[in-house]
Amino acid sequence: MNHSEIYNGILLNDWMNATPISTWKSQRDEFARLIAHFDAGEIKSSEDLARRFMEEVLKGRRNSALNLYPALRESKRNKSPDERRAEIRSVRAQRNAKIWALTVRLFDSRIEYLKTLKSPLAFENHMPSLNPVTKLASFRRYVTEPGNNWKEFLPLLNWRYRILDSAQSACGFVLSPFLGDEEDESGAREAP
Amino acid sequence: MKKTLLASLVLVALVNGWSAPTFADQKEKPDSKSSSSSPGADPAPKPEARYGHEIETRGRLGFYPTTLLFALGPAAVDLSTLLHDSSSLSTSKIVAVSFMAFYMGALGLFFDAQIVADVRIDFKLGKLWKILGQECPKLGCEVFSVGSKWNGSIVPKVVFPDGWYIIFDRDPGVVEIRGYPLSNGATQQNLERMQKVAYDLAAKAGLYPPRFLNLTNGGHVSIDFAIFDQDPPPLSKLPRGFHESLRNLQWNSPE
Repeated sequence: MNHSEIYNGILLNDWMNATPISTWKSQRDEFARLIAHFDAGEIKSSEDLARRFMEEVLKGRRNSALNLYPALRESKRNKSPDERRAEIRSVRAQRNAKIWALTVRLFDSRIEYLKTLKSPLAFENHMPSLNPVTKLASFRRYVTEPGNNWKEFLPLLNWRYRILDSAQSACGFVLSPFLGDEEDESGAREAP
Repeated sequence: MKKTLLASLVLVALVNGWSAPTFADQKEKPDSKSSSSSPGADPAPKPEARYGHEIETRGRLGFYPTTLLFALGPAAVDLSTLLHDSSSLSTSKIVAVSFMAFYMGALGLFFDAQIVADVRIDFKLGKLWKILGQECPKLGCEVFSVGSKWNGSIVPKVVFPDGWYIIFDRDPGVVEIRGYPLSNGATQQNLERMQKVAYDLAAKAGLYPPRFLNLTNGGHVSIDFAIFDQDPPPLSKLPRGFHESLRNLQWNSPE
């Protein structure tokens, strides 16, 4: 939800097959309500949370950027109870195996990074930004917070954002006050 | 006229992509020794997330009759008016009809992608089946027939002796490639044969990942949901751990 740029143009922008999940205020409010229920201890299992997320937040739309129906044991989309999975749909088709491996590294490093956090994340209930500069900066944080090198993940961007990134690198001293970046030269931050 | 035709060709190529990068384009190649290792082999001892994938590929776009019909329809009306009474044509009318031709062409493309693409995909999948039959003995894999999840048709499944497999499944308008779920480390180890089977051999049959957005387009990443049951290990902290992990799936950040 906080990193809406991923399904709003960075990795994909497909409103037919990977509908954004935080564009509408009603969805964000429902998600905030669900998180409040979760914090109150009313949701006991991960599967229950996934079910309520799909039914209450996404209103049953499985063609959303995130589809958790395959994670439910009783779902028709789940062929085997042992193969419960969370499906991230907002990723464009990988052009080769190396791009695929890079995509896996991106999500894996993020999960590993989140495991190291001591405090829960804060949900930012606001309209996703449509500004390409803001989206790129947000995705850069997403990549570099786990300690990844930003330049290694540039192939995941489409050509528009790569040009924007090159332009930012070329005239970083002009844009840096607006972006508020504090990375070191390698583009990576230390993981906590 | 030639310039217009050339511009149309370039536009069609831009919208649908025209080439598929091969693994030879990559500067860094994975270690060839590692490709023969087990897909599940991973040096990390701790339980890891496994990642499945669904890469939707499609055939190259040709000249679909419906597209031309829709695009040329308004243009033909325009031309007939010109032939009968050239004085009735105005600049604004030419502009309006040109726009109409463009959007009708796009509409035709939509219908084509829905109707014609499935026929083309089936044809290319048959070609792929033949190529797999020729190439698999050299790679040490076998080709099996499995039922498609979409329409029940028979689709090829390539299986290697260590259990690693790839299914060339069907979905509306696309070939959906589904692979053996692997951890991050094992994915890096199996890059070479994945490239060979899922990309290079498919490219020989005319199937490529779309470079630009089409009607449906995706390289869906599936994450093993069991990791959210295990994280963190103490059961009392399960909801909090999942809370964070679920937010991760929705791409939150701890700002």
